[in-house]
Amino acid sequence: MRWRRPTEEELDRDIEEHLAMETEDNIARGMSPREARYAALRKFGNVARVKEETRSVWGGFSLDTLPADVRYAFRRIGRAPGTAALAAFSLALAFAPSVTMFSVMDRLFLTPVPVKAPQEIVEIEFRDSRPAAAHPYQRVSYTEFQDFRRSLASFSGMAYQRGQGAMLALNGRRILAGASLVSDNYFQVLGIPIQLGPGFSSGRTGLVISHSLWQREFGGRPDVIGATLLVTGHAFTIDGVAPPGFLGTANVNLLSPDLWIPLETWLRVQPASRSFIERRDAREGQVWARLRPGLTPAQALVEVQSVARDMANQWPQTNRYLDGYAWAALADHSRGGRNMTIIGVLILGILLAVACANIAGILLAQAEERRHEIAVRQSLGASRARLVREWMIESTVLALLGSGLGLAAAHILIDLVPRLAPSFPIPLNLEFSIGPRVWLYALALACVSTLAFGLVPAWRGSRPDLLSGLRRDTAVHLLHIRVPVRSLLIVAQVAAAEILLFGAGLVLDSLSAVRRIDPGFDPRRPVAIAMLLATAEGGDVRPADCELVRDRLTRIPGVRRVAYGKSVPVSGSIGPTVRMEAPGQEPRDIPGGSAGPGFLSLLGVRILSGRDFLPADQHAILVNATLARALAPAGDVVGREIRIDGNIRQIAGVFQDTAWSSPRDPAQPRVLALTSARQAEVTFAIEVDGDPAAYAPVLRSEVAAAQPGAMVVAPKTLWSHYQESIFLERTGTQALYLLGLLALLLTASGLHGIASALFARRSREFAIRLAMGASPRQIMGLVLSGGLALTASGLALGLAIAIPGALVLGSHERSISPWSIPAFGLSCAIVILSAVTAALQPAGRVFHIQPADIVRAE
Amino acid sequence: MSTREERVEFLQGTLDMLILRTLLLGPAHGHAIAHAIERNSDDVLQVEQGSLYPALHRLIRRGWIQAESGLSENNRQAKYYRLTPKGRKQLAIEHTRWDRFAGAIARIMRPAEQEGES
Repeated sequence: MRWRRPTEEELDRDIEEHLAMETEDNIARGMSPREARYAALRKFGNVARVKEETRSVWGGFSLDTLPADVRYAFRRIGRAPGTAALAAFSLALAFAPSVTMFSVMDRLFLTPVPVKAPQEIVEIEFRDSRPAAAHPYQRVSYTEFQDFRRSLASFSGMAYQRGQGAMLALNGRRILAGASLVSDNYFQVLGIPIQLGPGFSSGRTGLVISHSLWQREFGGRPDVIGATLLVTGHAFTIDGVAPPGFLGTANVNLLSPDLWIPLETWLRVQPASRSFIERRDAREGQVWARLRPGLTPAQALVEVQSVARDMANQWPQTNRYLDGYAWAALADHSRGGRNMTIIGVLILGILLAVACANIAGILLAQAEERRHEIAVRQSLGASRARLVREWMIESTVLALLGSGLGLAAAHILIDLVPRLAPSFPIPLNLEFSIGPRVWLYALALACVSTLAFGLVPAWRGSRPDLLSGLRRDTAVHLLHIRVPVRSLLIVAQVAAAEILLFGAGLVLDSLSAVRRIDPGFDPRRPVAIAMLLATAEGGDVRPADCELVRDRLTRIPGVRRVAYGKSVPVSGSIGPTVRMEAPGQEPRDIPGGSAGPGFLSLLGVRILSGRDFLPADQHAILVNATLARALAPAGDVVGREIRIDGNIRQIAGVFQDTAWSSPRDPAQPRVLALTSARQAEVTFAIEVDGDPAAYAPVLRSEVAAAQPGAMVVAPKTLWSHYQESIFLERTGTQALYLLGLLALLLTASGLHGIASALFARRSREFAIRLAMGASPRQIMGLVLSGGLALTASGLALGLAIAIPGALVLGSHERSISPWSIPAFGLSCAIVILSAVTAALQPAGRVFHIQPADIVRAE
Repeated sequence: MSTREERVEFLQGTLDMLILRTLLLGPAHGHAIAHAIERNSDDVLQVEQGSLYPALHRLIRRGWIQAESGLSENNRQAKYYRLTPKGRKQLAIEHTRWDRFAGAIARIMRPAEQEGES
């Protein structure tokens, strides 16, 4: 027979029956009814305790007493609202960043691309077989994609996608939008249903828009299908709307395209782009292929490799070192991201642990204060299980308050996250939200923290030997030494804060390392940079007249010099590749680019020998120092002639090595040609008096006046542009220091509490010492040294974990060393300083002790 | 406070056994069990009657007895407890264990007297 939990009423009835029988027996023995009842009760014992003990035999969780327990928990919280607020606030402080971080990670890494059967989808790439290749993995050019498509039999369909910025004329505005140029089978191969409209149809100049653009700009109206959209001056018909969850197939869902345009259509309306899209080495696209039924990615890889070998044989100039590579990119989509998420969760877990330790400390202190009340209740029959349950309910209520507060704060933080991101010409898709996965995560955090901070005080505070055990503070025995639990918690908190600050120091190190790298230009010059895009309304793009714009900008008051070039340094792209042929050397592909007269010197790039470009310097080129050394290890290269893409050019000068893509990139040879005055896309550098940021509006309006068809994209200062290039290091440092300081704030408040409690407990002793002639300073030293001893133990523990960790990391990444000043010295200094500050205030109370009063009060 | 725990521990084994032994004679309600124990021990064992209930519920949980409602001799609704076959086996185990325990105690306490008599 299965055991069924009896109800409270059943037990009441049984006991009442028992008492009634005993009373009747007593009456039969001649007692008065009143006497008989009392005798029965005496014989029975404490009814409340019997019930409580019987209930504890039932075990488990009874719903009968839950409402009463919850009410009681609220009453207790209400009795010490300040303490409860402190606890809830502590939790919220750790909760908000955790949830914010997770919602960002969730959006970037954990949201799968909603394709049909993602395990069948394989991404095809190239792998550079040279051991020290700068880019070990390379994407695929459109021409190579067509080769693959013709030769590969492992796949039932193959699609191509490459990103493209496109000017969009919408509701009287022009915006730069992200576009995806795709093979016309893109949506079929991936198995993504078009939400609205027929989708791509051959022979039309049509496109598919994103769900987000449809909502933003068209209000979700269904009659948008068949409407005309002006993209870079060409009229396209809207043939479809993509489903809401589909943000494109980029590796990180940050730049979700708003338009999908068939690549062949794009080539038809933009014949000029054919030359760079169809270059065999323009490897800027992704190839998505769907496996035939029954084939595995590994089997497909073999065929991809063999086709890549054929390509290498047929096109040795461009493909010699490229192996084929294929992997289930969508099924494994978030492999890297998942690791990032785990690291993030762990780092923020440290903060949460600190908060929980803090709350546990607060609750323990409360348990000590309430030992009398609990002892009374225990003697009245409250079982230990019941007391533990009450503590846990109180902790749960606190956890719910804290996590609710934290969630509310996370909502605000999540809206602030996009402002941290570097500016980008195309709007980034940074709409983070608290989705179902984030809710689950928050719920798990709340449960874990309830257990973490609720169990210790519950267990300690409900011990049967309460009166003796809590007369002094709660303690455990370590190596036969009595250590108060609250002190242990503080030691752990200090250790955690130290670990976070130590990590922040390591990242600060790598930030200053990347700052020390000479980017090859002077980012502090008072220069504004503005990217100019020419557009056309219905027709071909009319290039902008750069000289005209330059003249106009030069006349702005406060502007000293204006120059233009194809792109500025540290812009995240290595630039186009050109073929260089020099006498006595094998032809090689090197990064190229172009600059107008005065552009380099305006950015602070030094000309090492020779001269800068002159206007109309059509046949001149500039080479950087690395290329100059490669061409003539000892001699001078100025005046020499080399072939660039087949044309003979003369080296006019040598400029210093400049970080073209990012400061972290190794120096590589580069050649610059003169930027011609007619450009569809060009970057202006404007040297000004005063703050360059203030010139953005006037730059926009003057460019619009000079070239009605052109627009300025994201004007900014050279300094902010440089700062964005080291965004990762800067943000990492700031975030870790912020977390470390938060942890320290929590720790300091806990330390303050301990020092205060210590002071309160020993105030009588201190008073006597003072009366006996001790100086207040000595007593203060006593209190301070107690706090500092805990801090020192915490520091030692933290360093014992952090230093080996840093050594392990250092064996992978040479720039990391635990013996750096920020990591080691700064973190220790910050921790000690804040510990002293926290203990100082309670210690200072010694000056207010009136020995006579205290001794009299006792 | 600490003596209470010791007493509960002392009662836990013996009280359970005494309840099982009492129910061997047939189903009984809580009040009757308490009186049977007192009476059969010639009032040596004074049961704090309340402590019967946690013990009864513990025995039910272990499946050694089961509860059923019935009418008492004065026509009252009362809960009757009945020994299950599992409980019967358990009683045998407890009984053996108790005999051994009591015998061991007796051997320790008695030998001097026996020597004196012989």
